[in-house]
Amino acid sequence: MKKNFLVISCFALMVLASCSKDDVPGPTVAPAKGAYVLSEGGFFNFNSKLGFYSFATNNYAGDFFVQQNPTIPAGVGGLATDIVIYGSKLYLVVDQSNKVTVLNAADAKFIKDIAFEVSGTPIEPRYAATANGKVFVTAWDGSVNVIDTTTLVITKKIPVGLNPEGLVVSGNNLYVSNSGGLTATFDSTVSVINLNSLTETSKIHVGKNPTSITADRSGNIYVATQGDYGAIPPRLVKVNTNNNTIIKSADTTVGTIKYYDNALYVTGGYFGVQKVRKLNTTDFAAMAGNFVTDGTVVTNPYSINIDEENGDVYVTDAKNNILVGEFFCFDKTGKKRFSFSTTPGVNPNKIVFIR
Amino acid sequence: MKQTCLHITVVLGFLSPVLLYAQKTDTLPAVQVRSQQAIENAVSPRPVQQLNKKSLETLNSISVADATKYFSGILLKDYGGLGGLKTISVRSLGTGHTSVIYDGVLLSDVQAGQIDLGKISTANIENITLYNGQPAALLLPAKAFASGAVLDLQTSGNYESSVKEKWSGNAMVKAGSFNFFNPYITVRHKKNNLIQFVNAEWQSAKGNYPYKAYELDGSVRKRTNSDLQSLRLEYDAAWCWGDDNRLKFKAYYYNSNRGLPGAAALYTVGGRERLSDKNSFVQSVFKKNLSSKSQLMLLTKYAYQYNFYKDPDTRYGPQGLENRFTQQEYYFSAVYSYRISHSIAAAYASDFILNTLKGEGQFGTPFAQPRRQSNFNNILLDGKWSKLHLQANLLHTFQKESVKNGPVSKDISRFNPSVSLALQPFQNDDIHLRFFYKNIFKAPTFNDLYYAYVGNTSLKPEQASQYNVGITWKKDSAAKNISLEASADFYISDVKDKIIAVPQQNLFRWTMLNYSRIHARGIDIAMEARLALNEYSNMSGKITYGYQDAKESDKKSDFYGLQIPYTPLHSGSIQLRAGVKKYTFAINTVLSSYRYRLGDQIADNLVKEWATIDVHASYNLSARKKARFFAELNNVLNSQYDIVKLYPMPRFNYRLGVTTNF
Repeated sequence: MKKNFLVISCFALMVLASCSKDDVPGPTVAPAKGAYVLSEGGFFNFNSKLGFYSFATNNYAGDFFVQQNPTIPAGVGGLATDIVIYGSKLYLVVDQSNKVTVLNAADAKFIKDIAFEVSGTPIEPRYAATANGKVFVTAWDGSVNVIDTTTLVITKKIPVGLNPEGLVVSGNNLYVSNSGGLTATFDSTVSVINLNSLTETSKIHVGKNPTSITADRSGNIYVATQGDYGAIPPRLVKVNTNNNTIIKSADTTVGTIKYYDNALYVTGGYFGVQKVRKLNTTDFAAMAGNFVTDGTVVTNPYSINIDEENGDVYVTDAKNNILVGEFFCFDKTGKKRFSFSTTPGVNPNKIVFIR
Repeated sequence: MKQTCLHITVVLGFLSPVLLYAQKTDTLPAVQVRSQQAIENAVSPRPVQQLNKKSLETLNSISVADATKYFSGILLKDYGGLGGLKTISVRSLGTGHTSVIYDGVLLSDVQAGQIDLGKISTANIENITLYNGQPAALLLPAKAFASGAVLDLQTSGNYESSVKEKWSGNAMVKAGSFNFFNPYITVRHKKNNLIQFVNAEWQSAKGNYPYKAYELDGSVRKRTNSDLQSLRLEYDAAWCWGDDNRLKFKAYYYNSNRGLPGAAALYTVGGRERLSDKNSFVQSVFKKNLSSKSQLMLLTKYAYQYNFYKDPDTRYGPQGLENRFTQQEYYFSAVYSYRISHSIAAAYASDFILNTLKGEGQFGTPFAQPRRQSNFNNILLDGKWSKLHLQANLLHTFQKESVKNGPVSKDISRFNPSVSLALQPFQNDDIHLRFFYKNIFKAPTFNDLYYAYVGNTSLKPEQASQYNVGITWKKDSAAKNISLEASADFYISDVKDKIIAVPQQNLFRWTMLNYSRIHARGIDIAMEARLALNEYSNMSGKITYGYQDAKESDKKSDFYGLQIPYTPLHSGSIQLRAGVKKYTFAINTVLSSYRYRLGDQIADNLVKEWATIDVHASYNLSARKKARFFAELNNVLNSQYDIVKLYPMPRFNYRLGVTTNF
């Protein structure tokens, strides 16, 4: 009963934010106006928070969602697993409240809730990716749900593998990790969805329990697989999407993974080293065993994002998963620039930038 | 010698030794010998709180859990509704540190280590007694000394000496809000020295109570999947012979099916999980006076429990998630007491218990199928002089486990002492002082050790030390129509190696760890007054107040110095009752200050303070037949409160009923 949820929380918490935006071709992006920090809260505590760091005032508002939407005192909901900004809108994927909440990206004011249920049965949305005016959201009933960004309704449901988690766009395809995490034997595939036909065209076998996924600019995707928590260890896998073959695979434990500028930034997740590491994209060798160079301690690195305008690395720290968390901004050499407590947010799990 | 066969109507298990007895006279001894002697709180070396049947009726309680709200020093964790889980923790020791005794033999649940008091109806209960430490009786099984507190339940089946006629019985039916329906019947038969009881009870409710979602948008919603259906069948038989010799047998069967509504939060469809339980046991108590100085008591019990949990969510697979568990217990206890002198007596008790748990494998891992064997041996010394009562005991526990799959927990062998005294400092016996110290441990439960992924077989037992200093005052007026009582106890509880679930940074899983240490200090105060105004009317009033400062005291813990979750600093109750001729009225209130759930002490984790007022009114239809019509009006303030955050409790609700003897 309660313990089942504890176990399932492991499957949930273990999948750390992975979705990456489409890389803007070329290195030029506008400076960020602010950073939204999403905190998923405690499992079944229904206390997810959306905070906002303003670059103009250098201040952090921990419960920005309620501040901007005082008529919704219930807040974001339960276990908000992902956040993406696409166009002028911001999309919150709220797993335990079974919805995607659409806000105005500039001021976080509420626009709409899109319910994630089938015939009254909740399907638990997980992660999001964007392309071609659509937001793609995985859900644990084994589907990728296509949200049209003008009508804000789910226009299509694409069946993929079991309990899909992270997803990423590369080229003209969407790649979806099928973890199978709620089943006894897991899944081992990544589904390939063609962005024109919006159907699954093939499955790539990557290894047991794939979760977090990122893409570089050369047509490769990198998938973290968690194994079966027993005999099969976690692995990091690189797939060439031209021929869907695995070109590199290594026994290394990765929770979240994010590609930026010819390097992979990874957290250890629940199995691995509790440091932010920077890995080489060719052989996964550690370019930095600890990205942080000035001795700042990040107790429980939970997610990473990089500000592409200046290369600053943002890391969220979930502490002991019960007390409120913290987020840090490091410059590209690994020196801390600033940090804030995410109070009242617990388990801060994703940072995105608004420009 | 005559042998008599029992006519048993329910599940038979494990009969006590030889059913031979000598048929003596028809009349039963005047003194009722029960397994636990009721001792008055005023003179007891350890605090005692009691609710008898009359109180239980006017407190509108339908389960033992409801009744415990009126005890001081208790934290009741209630998940709401008729079917929600209800467990108690006494003086911040933790849920598993309270033993529950049912007509002389302990109930057990080694899987979860806690008894759901919501499953025990009060319809058949004659009294509920809470003992801090352990009861004061000489003839107690060894395991009764093995917890920080004991909740002693006695049913009508324990009161065979009050049965006078050949055939008699009692019937009751209650119905009320949210489709609550509760018929109850008990039939008693007495022939020569054999008295038998059969009782049957059905409780059902739809449980779709409205609640104000004040944590969300303040709208009024209804609880769904909150229904309960339960059936209880109980059979008791008692043979008596000689002076205080008894052989008692009980067979018990409980079958329930309930929905688990889950947390009340935004956009959740509402839980659809279901839980069904089948609990049954047979137990026997044999008591014999071996001589004028010595007594022997033998207890035996066989219990069989089955529970089935289902979450129909097809994300887990086509049948959803299903857990089935079966527990069995074999229990045998022998207690021997000997009166050494006029003032001093000793008792030796030895218990043997075998517990097994069978279940299905989960998440691809085979289940351990553990089997635990425990031996408890206890020596008790009791000295009672005119102004001093002294008790001391030493308990030894030996526990050994074996499993079919996976690692097994280590053996346990421990000695645990307890010492207590009650002193009358002055010439008059109005005032008493008391002191007690007890040290005891709690073994990890099967869930703590063997549950898939979360279990940890390296767990050490929890250790609890308690200290109590108290003063009591009691005075009856010369005419015996006014009775006043008051007590105040100051206590310290210290729990080391507390087992809690911790999300581990370097493991993906949450694990059970000995992670916490609790240091609690508190005060329990109770005051009671009873007035018999004339032969038609009487009044009584009782106030309890509890102060509990319970903090995390492990310096390495992230929660060091914080009040432990769900423990209010202040709690209390007031009970007022008046009986005038054929009418009885009562008004009762329970209050609790605010608490925090696990986490930082911020608004998000705050669980607000609450108070409820319940009203009871009854009218005697026939004094001879003890027939009564009654109305229970609960939470008349219609207040919306949670005990566990996001599990709203019912607002105003009512029950009407009628009961009669026949």
